[in-house]
Amino acid sequence: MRFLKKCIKKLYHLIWFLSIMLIFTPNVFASGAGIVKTDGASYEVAAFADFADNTNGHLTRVNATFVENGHYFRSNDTLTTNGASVDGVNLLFDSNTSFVRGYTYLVSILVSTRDTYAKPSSNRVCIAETLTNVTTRYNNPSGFPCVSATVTATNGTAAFSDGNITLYYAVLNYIFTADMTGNSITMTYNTINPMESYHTFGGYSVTLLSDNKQLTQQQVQQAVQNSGLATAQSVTQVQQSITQVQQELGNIDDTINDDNVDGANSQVDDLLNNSNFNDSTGIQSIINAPLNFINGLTNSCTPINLTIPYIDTPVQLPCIKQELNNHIPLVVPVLSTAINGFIIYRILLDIVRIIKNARNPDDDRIEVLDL
Amino acid sequence: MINTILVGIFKVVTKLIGVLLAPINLLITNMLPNFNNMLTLVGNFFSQVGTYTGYILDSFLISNEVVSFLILYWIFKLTFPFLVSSIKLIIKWYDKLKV
Repeated sequence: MRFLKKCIKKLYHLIWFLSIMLIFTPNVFASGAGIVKTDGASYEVAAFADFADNTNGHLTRVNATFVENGHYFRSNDTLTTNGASVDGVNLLFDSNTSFVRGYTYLVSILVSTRDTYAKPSSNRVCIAETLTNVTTRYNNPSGFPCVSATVTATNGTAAFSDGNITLYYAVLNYIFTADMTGNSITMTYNTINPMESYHTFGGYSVTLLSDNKQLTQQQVQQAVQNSGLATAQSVTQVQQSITQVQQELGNIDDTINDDNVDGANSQVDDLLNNSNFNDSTGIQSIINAPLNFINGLTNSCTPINLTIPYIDTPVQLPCIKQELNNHIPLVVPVLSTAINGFIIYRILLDIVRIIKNARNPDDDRIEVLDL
Repeated sequence: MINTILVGIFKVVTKLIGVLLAPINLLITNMLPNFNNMLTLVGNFFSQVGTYTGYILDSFLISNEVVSFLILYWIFKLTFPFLVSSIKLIIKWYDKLKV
């Protein structure tokens, strides 16, 4: 019974695994295209009728053949090259399908390449490079190319090997706009492989990208301008505005980073010299009085002019220091030094005392309050 | 920018003083005119004293440098004890809170 349960469980897991694989398998395989091993030594690509879906009216599932130099080159046929480019490979569609002049199409072609003489240990064949340069052009009856494009087919290259032969696959995608109506595309298939190799066109898909005429740059600009979203003038104005904003941001940045304080002193002096601190009336005069007094301490001496009462005689008291200098010039410096030195000495003593008191951790008196 | 901020702070302080004192000044001027005269006289007295201060200091041969030193000394004497006392107070609080 337990064995039966295990088998059912494994079968359940297997069904889930296969379901997930089917979901994530690319459409190219799910649509019926595949690789068929025709014999023991080579691979061929099967018919590729269901290369892409047929939705939105795109040109898909059309019958087409590859023609090389007048030889119809069908999907199961093989194009043989020997180190030379092959020109004039036509992708010819049936009469019901045609490329319309001015319409834009996406064409995808599946190409497989193999080298008969490639050995497992040899790396002489570089099919990815072989498929690198593929020039396509719309078939023009007059013979000169009308539309050309260079396609790089390195993406999507896959390789399969059975030990003797390596088969490479690549999907060439290119977009072109037809400038003439017709039902064929002329391809120039360049190969740089020096060895003989075989190339097979496995399938194709054509998708109509634009059912309008090819838009010119002028038409695009006109459409943008008519949309009202932006015009050349508005773009210029926006650019000018951006420039102005950048300049303003630069100015703000300069202002923020400006550490120049040279003007502060003069402006503060102006503040102190204006009427804010010189008001001689009211309460403000009381507040300003000590400041004015201190400010007057450092004023230089000016002679005092008095008028003696009762006799109304003006008297001028000259500055003492100046008078002493005039009469006893040798004494003034000595006396001045002694007096100023004594004052400074007392001040220094008091400063030392304050600092010594501050060092005493038990003394929590605030000396200022004892003044 | 720093310059502008500094000047702005000074302007704010001076204007704030004026704004705060303006109503009191107005009240005293209108309601107590004599008291206002007395305050003005006090201010004038200090101004008058300041006028003769230079003459007196010069008479005692005290130089301006010593006067400046005296002003600095008084600033120190008035501010330093507050600073020390505040630090001691913070340390005391910290010790009590720690326990």
